[in-house]
Amino acid sequence: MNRILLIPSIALLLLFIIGYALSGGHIATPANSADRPIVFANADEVKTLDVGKMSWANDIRTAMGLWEGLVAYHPETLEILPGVAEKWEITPDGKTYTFHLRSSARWSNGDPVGARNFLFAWKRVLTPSTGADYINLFYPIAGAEAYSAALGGPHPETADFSTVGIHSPDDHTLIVQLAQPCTYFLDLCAFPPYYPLHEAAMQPFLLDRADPSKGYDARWTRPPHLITNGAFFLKDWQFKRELVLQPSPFYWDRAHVKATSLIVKAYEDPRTALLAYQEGRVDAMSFVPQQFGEELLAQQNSHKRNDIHFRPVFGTYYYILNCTRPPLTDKRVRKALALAIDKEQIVTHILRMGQKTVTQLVPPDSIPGYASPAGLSMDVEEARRLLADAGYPDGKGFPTLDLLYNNESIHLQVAQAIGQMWKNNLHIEISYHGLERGSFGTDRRTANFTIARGGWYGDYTDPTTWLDLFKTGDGNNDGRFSSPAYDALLEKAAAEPNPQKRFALLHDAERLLVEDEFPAIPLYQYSDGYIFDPDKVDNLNLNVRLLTQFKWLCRK
Amino acid sequence: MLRFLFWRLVQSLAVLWIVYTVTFVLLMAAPGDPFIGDKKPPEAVRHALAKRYGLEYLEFSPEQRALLTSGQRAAYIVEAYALYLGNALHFDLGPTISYENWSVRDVIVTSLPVSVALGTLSLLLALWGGVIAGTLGAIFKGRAPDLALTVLTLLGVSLPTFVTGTFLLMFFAVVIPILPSSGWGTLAQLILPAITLALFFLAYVARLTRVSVLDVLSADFIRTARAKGLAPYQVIGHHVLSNAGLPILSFLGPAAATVLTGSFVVEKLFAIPGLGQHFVNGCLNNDIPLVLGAVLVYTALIVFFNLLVDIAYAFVDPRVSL
Repeated sequence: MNRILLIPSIALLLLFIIGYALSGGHIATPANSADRPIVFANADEVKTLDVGKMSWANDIRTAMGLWEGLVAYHPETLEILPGVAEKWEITPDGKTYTFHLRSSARWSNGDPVGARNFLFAWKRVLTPSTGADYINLFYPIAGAEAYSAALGGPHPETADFSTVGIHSPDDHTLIVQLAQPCTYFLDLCAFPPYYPLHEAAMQPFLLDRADPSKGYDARWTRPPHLITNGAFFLKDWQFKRELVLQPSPFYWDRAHVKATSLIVKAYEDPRTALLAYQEGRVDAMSFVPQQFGEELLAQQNSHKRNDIHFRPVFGTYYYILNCTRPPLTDKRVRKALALAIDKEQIVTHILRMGQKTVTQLVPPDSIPGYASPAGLSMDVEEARRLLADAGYPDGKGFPTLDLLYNNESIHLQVAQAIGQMWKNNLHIEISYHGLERGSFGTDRRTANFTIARGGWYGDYTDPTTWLDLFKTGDGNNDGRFSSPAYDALLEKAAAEPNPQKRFALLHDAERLLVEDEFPAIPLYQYSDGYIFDPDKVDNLNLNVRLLTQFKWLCRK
Repeated sequence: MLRFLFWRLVQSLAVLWIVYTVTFVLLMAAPGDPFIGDKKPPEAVRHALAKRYGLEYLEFSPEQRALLTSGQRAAYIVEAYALYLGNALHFDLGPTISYENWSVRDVIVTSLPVSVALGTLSLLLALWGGVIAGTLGAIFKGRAPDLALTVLTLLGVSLPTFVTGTFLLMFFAVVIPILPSSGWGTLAQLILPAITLALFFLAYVARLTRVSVLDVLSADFIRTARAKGLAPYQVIGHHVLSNAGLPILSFLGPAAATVLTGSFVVEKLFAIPGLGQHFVNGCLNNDIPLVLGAVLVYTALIVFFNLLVDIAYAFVDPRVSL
């Protein structure tokens, strides 16, 4: 045999063996045991397991299996259940919460969970250099926002944590003082940024022992270093492959954790995920792929299969109008644009997965006790009249409107459909401006757009998770909408301890947005779902916020 | 030989530095802010993140960047560049932005072996499959087997991997389910992606081989070898391929570098945790440390394999000396 082929072949073969061995490959397929773990597939890898910093659905779902907050969600109704705190008291003014921590709460290494763990974690989130996406979820706590602002300001030495309304008289009691009565505060306490952290386990990973604000080496979030206090602990994490969760032997409610082990995988190609599911290598998928959605739902509706679980969720798709750019400074123009869209066309012809159109920003019927305003439905005559009133009869003299969207998913099609409706109904010109994710985000944040695609998933079960987006000066108020009347309504609601009266005020505030001011045009409520066989996997409940509680999951 | 190696090492380092620098400048020039996050935290939080990565410049929108004087702009970029290059010289590629629990080194260490295993297997398939197909084509020149191979190799070169991959996937994992559709960890899971990745290179090698074998077959020394009464397989195996193999060898260098750093399409289609995805996703997410790390690995591999090919030439071709 000649050398030209042999030398490279041997070199390649050697490289293959080395690479395959280093990559953790096996020669034979690992045997299938009876106690097979439940395999849960996400569309993307977990971005971070630092609970203080997370904000993505996959991360939050995983964190809820690994950690436990002062309180927890009911897997189906999202009602508040005791967690680390076995009981709590709320003062009649709704401003002081006293949590009594159970003495049986344990970290996955056996250490007791105490109030100090919460103090440490919460203080860390409030420190701007931590980089917490959800820092504003702590602002209901008295003094929290001011403390954080002082730390991030020119004189960080003036920041004093004792001014923040978080105190613990002993390690089993945590007292939280709120700035205003916050009816959804317990809901926040069940959410990952509020989870405790095991400071001692993180200490060895401090980048600079003298200055903790420099942060931690990321390895603290990986096994075996990661210590958690929830139903599961992280046994293994192989980047872009899988996370292995196993029941924590020290968890106080171990008796209710039935799964022997849980594997969380990432499949970036939805086709591949679906094939793996059909081969039985995946038990549940946390998404229904858009390109097969219509077909899968049709099979589900004709009872050919029973494993597609799809429902309207706690999110709205809308268009943001930049209220500082003429002619959108005129609310008649904004309203005209809103009234000239046939939303039904968009959901039936573009999305085609049974999404519901909405005339409100807060998804209707998703918050117990909150009555949504009616909103306005399509009315082309009225739209034309409003546009004429604003000085543009039959669209004459109206400048070309720029429509900004990100080049992913179906955003382009939706933009083109809406642009065409505006053109046909109002006789105005639209230009389309598609950008990749990063630039789209920058333009949105800096209000460098006329009309932009928007979408929001609620973070806690309360209308303010949407309504705050339109508060003057809010960091997420991309359209720079500002209305003193609206701000006043929100402020009044924030000070109102009576939940019914508060919801009535918030109802009025939302009505102002969706019937009069139109800083954004609500289009449809997101729908989302899971794929799993209910005869095989039990307790995988689809609540409106898709906050699956891994704790209760088991095989049938 | 030692002198040659020394100069090549100097050249290689220069190439690495130039590629690193150009990539860095391009990444800084690209618009987009990786620190926005889904929920847009307050400015102070975002700024702290940008500062931790030494990338304050990325916080500016294109309009804001345009308003900076060229001196200010240069100062920002040079400061970030000095930080990143300094760290890279200490083999510290920093943390990634989009998967902050993993450093760039972690990402490369976990995904490069995957790409190497998949890539080398594909190259082996491509090399042997291509040489056999090309030689057969040359021997049967103009007849049915040659025609069939020409059509197939043409298809192999022209069809993109997402077409061939999807076809293989549908056929061998769905229609006749004999192979697993995706994942990493068993040899069976390697088969479909390795073939998908190999097809293009196989077709290319086949075409190269066919041409050079035809070239050599008409040479005088082959006629002599035949006249001596050597068996046809000995003529082909010993005399023809030894000479026709040189172009294949020079193709193998860059091909190896390409294949070893992974393929975005194949990795996505077969859910393989390789390195290729990080080039594309890293760019989409403005994950500058990750892209820089991936580019550095890719460049180092290209330089290394070209060097290997040059050395191999000296061994197999008596006309070349180092």
